[in-house]
Formats: sequence, C-alpha cells, structure tokens
Amino acid sequence: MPIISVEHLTHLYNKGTPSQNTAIEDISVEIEKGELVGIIGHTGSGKSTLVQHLNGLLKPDSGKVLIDGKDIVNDKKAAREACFKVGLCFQYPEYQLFEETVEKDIAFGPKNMKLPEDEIKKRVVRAAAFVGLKPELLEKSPFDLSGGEKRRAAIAGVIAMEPQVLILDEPTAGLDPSGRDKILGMIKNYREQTGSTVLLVSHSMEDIAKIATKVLVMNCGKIEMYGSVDEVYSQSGRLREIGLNVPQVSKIFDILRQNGLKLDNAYTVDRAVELITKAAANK
Amino acid sequence: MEKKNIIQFDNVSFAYEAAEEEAQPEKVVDGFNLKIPEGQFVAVLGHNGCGKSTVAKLINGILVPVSGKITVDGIDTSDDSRITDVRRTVGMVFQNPDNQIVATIVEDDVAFGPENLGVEPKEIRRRVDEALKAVGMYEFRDREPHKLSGGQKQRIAIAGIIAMQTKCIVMDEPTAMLDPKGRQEVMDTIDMLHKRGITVILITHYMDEAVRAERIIVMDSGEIVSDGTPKEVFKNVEKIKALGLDVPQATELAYRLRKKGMNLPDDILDEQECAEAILKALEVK
Amino acid sequence: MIKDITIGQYFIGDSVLHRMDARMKIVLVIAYIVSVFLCKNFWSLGLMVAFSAICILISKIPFKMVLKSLRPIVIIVLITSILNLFYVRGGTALVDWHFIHITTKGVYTAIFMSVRIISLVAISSLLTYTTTPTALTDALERLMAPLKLFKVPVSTLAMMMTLALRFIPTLVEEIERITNAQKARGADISNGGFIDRIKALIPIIVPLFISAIRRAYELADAMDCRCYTGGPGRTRMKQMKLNSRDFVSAAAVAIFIAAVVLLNIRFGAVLA
Repeated sequence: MPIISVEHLTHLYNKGTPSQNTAIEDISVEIEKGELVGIIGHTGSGKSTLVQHLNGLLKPDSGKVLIDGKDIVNDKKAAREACFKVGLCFQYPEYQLFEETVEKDIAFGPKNMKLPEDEIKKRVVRAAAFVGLKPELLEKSPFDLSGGEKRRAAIAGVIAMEPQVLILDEPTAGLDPSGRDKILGMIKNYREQTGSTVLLVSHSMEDIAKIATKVLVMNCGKIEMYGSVDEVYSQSGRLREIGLNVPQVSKIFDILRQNGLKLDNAYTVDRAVELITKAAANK
Repeated sequence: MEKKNIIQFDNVSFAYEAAEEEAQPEKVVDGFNLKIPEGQFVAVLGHNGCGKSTVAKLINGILVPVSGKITVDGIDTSDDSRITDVRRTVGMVFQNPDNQIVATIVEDDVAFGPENLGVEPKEIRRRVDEALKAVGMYEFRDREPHKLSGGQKQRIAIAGIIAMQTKCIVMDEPTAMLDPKGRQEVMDTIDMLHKRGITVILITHYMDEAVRAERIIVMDSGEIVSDGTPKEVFKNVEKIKALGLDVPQATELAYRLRKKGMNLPDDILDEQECAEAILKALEVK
Repeated sequence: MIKDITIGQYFIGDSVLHRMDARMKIVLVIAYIVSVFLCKNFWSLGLMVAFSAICILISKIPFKMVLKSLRPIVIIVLITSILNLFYVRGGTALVDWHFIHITTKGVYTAIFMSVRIISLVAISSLLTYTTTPTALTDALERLMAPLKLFKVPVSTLAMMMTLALRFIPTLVEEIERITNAQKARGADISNGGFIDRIKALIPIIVPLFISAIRRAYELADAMDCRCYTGGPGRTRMKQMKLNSRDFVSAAAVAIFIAAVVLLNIRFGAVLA
C-alpha cells in the first residue's frame, strides 16, 4: 500500500470571485513508503499547493488524499492525525522560531501531540542530533544561532514529531554551498536511518539529482512527469520547454552523445566521472 | 591609459560593536585593500559570515571603517558632509526584494531616489520611464509592487538605482531569494547594466552567476584569498572547495577527469568547452 | 490568494470623480459635510439627498457597494433615531400614552439625523472608493503643508503612512505563512477558551514581531542608500494640478451649498 495516495485532486484559489483560478487540477499520484521524492516545477506550478494538501492544511475542492490508507479529507480524526503523520517544513522555516530556548522550540510540535514529558525530551535530543545541532546549543535562545543553525533547529522542530512522511519546501534556499550540502546530507541520512518517506521541493535540479530516488515534475497545476531520476532527467528537451534547466553535466553529456560518443545518462558529477573514465578505458 | 578606480579600500579595518561590554569587538575585516576600476563587473564569493556583506555596506557608507580609508570616486566615505555624494555614486540592491521597496506604486518607487536628490519633476519622469524600460518593467509602472514576482521586484529595485544615475551598483545576494526564472531575469538585467558602463559589484553564492563577471574576488575570514578572472579563480578547484564553495560542474568534471589521468585543460568553465575537451582527449574528433 | 489583496477600498473606475484631483475631493467632501448640517427643512434636505444620489451615479460605483459601506452604521442610525423619537419634545404631541411621548419635533429630528448620517457616510466612502490610498496620502500631505510652519513633520507623517500602506500586504502574507507553519507543527489556534486562544497566538506573534523589526532595519538601510534624509529639498515626480474638471466640480458644490442656504431662508427651519 502506498503511504501517500492522491486521487483526482483539484484545488481552486479565490473560489467564487472574479479572480478564481485553478491551482492544481485532477492530480493523481501514489508515493511508496521510503522513497525520497524530489518535486520540481517553476513558481506557480502548483507544487506548494499539492504538498499543503498532504497534511490537511488545505482542503481540496474535489478529489481524495489518503495517508497510510486513511482518507484525510472527509475523516476528521484522520485529518488531525495527518498533521502529525506528515511533517511539513515550509520555506525559510527559521522565521517560525519563537521560544526562549532551542530545546523548547523543538519540543513545540511533540507537545502539541500531547506526548509524555520524558518522550518529548528523548525526541528533542534525537531530532537535534539528526540535524547536527550540538547539545549545548539546546539551552541557547534560537535567535542567537547562526543562519544555518537556525534553519536546522527549525527543521528539527518538524523532525521531532517523528512523522512518517517528511516534506521540506526548499530547505536550502538562501544558504551558501556548504550550508546547502549539510542540509542535503542530513536529509539523506534521516531517510536512510528512519526509513521515512521524504518529499523535497526544490528549484535545484542538481540537488535533486544528488539525493532523490524519484522525481515528480509539476507544470501548470498538473503532474508532468513522475519517475526515477533517469526517466525524468533524460527528457531534457521537454524539461527545458516547461522552463526547467537540466544540470550542466547532462548538457555536457548531450553534446558528447551528439558527437557520436556512446554513453549512458549522467546527472551528477560522480556518475559522469565514472562513465567517462570507463569510456576512456574502453578505447 | 589606465581607467581610474571608482572604489578604493586602503588598509581598511572594521569591527561590529560587541554585544557584551567586556567582550573584545571582533574584527570582520582587517587591513583590507581593494581597487575596482570604473566599469568593471566584479563578483564577490565567499561563504556566509566571510565579511562580504560588510564590505558591501562599507562601500556606500552604511558602515564606516574603524581605521583605514575608503574612497568612492575620490570621495572619502567617512566624511559625513559628503555622504549624499557617496550614495549618488554607489547604489545598492539588497537580498530581500520586499524590504527595499518603499512605495505602493511601481513608478513611485523608482522615483523615490531622484525625488530625494531634489531632481526636477519633469526630469524625474523622464528618468523613471527610461529606467523602467531598461529593466523591462515599463508596462508594470502603475501596478502595486506586492503583486509582482520576486524577480520583478528586484528589477524595480534596480530601476530605482538606475534612475539615480549612479556610476556603480553594489548588489548583496540579489538572487538568493528568487526562483530560477527570477534569477535569470536579474542576471540579464545585470548584463545590461554592465554594457551601459556601470560598475557592478555582485555578491553571490551561485557560481554560474559569478562566471559571468569579468573578475571574481573570493573572500574568507575578512580577507581576499583569490582575485582574478573566472578562469584564473576556478582553476584552483581544491582551494575553492576547501573554502566551502562550489565550482561550476563543467570545471569540477574536468578537474576530476584530469586527476584520473585524462589530458584536459585546467581552465574549463562552460559545458561546450568541457565537452569539446573531452572529445579531443578521447580522440573522437 | 492572499497576495491579491488590495488595501483600502479603492474601486477601479474612470469616472469624473475618479479623475478629479484628490486634494479638491477632500476639500469638497469637507464642504459637503458642513452643508449636510446646514439643511434645516425638508426642501434643503431633499436637495441634499438628490445631490448625493447624483454624485453616486456619476461615480459609477455600483449601488450595492455604497450600501455595503453603510452596513456598519445601521445600528448607530437606529439608536439615534429611537433616542430622538422618544426624548425630543416640542411641536405637536402625536402619541401620549403612559410613559411614551412622541412629538412632531422628535419625528423630524429622527428623520434629519438619520438622513444626515447616511449621506455623510455614503459620500465619504465615495471619496475612498474613487481615490487610491496613495493619492489620498499625497493629497493630505500637500493640504497639510502649511502646518510645516508650525513645525508639524507633515512629510515624515506622510512617508510613514505610505510605508504602512506598502507593508500591510507584506505583513498579512507573513501572518499567513507563520500561521501555516505553526499549524503544521500541530498548533491549535481556533479551539479552547479565551486564555487558551491568547496563548495560542504567541507562536505567531513572536515571529511576526521579530520579522517586522528585521524588515524595519533593512528598510532603513535601503532608504538611506537612496538618499532619503527626511529633511527639506525633496522634490516629487507627480505634480498635482487642478484642471477645469476640478473647478467645475467646485462650482457645482458651491451652487449646491448656496441652494441649501436659499431654501433654508425661503421655507424657514423645521428644526429650531
């Protein structure tokens, strides 16, 4: 059974007013447990609208959302549970920090779940460790942390709810390359160690190529493609048509192939190095 | 004849005031020297907290040095009486497009700078129209800024600086909060500024933006650790990576293949160059 | 989406009223308000109602919108009418039963007060329907310019007003964003008693304040960079210029007020 199942989902904005417009239209998709799905699409393609339906923040105008087999649109109890089963971390999550200490802030979600004190404590420590926050930082005010640390503390606040599905909306936006790599590494680790399903919304085709197991491409409120990295990235022509840019390495590989070099596809530098060395050895 | 330097840092030091009284103020930049000739397009790279934003704020007098001297078109930025002249020369575009737009209508915002300078109304109108056309936002002149995309807002902010007719623009991560389309729009606008002969100082995290510049300055712990053309700077892949920065994928690929013994040049930046070099090395061509 | 909100109640249009100089509109609305209280008999009151109706027709604002602006004052109108009806004594007694005394003067006062309040609100909202908040701020700044002689920081106040207008949509968006983020962490905002609800707002208000302060600092830097000093020497791109349209309107209002006064003299006052 897929962990997330979306059936004929449609959502309209400003329903009934002259500015009514369709955010997403008749979307159906199934996501299996344990996948790390990269979601790409330009601004306004409907990706944020889609993910906000998965934890019940938005209600569809028609269609169904099943989380772990339970309908979260019509069943009230399942809807409340979905909020904890599906952890959603918004863009620039550091702007949601509000508590006196990092520890209290991370504990906010678990507290809302009405967990026992000692369980909350355990989860806070675990979550902080996942995002790589040193224990001594837990006592500090979240506003005294550096930009990258704030971001990680905020993500820990969502992870501490130990959701079955973790959704991150542009978790690396505005970070420098080393901050970005830390977050990406952390996401990969988290999935590998907990077996959770992770959805990563990103503008960066390079980042998604590095860590995703599957890629979902949105365009104009519909799902344009859904498949493995290879299945999606190999359609570079179509991706460019809908305003997405493939990584520089795949452009290089396109040119190499046009010139008669027989090569498989590569979307990361690691893979590219491997393939070209092999091609060179076969000469 | 050599072009004159529009910006010059001579042995500049700067420290923010310490939060606690006993603490020693930590120097963000120390003994910093930099010369930027008029009309140059310079990209400044460095990880968060390396002092690049401080340098940007020092250039147009938001911050003044603790010691040393900064001159902008020959004017000392620590001379309070001439601060308006400094800012007439150097405009600044910030990271968050929302926090630099002051008016409720696009054209009023672009007019804000010239209005503050006391320019004649008719002349402001002319400059505003011209600036909006230059950034491709003329059709949006009577819109409300909060209904525009991030890339459009940044172009409005740039138009506001163009209308002030500054010789130099400093941009502090203008694309960090934008989507790929917005980034493209802003980068195209920056190319346009450069073609107009305006000195551009672009602070960025994105290597693909930096390679478009004529010169790249890499900063670390308040110091310049690398300074040269994109080809010269990115040649040193190990050093750049050690600083927590990226190199373009084409450069990295070529670098790693070279380490595996392939015969590739060490100054590759774009995909075409890279592909051609690989083809040559594999003797396909 | 929340991004589409429009501040104020400007209703897009191209009528004569929309195109009039905002300064003239403000002055004429004030003159009109005074004239509303000059009406002393049914003739002048009728003229005033007719004049107001013509203004609404000219503005091409849908009548529904004007009614909408009256909704908040329904209660006030009802209460004043009732109080006037029962407590104003004078003229002929109409009802005199136990403790209820209604007199002609009471009835007249009730009618006059209701009509006056309704007209006043309708015409003032016509001003905000046909003028953008920006134009209103600009007009107020210029009308109040003489106050600068008395050291009133008119330009600074106007700048503050403009910035408030500019940042309201941004902050509304921010509230929505933060609320969603906290809801995703299981915050329950809509349930519980009064104290619980206040407590539940802390996770929203604290980040909102911090972000507003951060924005304020950045904005201050951005304004400095664009040479804003708050002092004199600032020019404006848009010059406000009165043209024939404004003078004709002013003449129309003047004739209206003169007619009100003449009708008062000719037919005497119903209300003393």
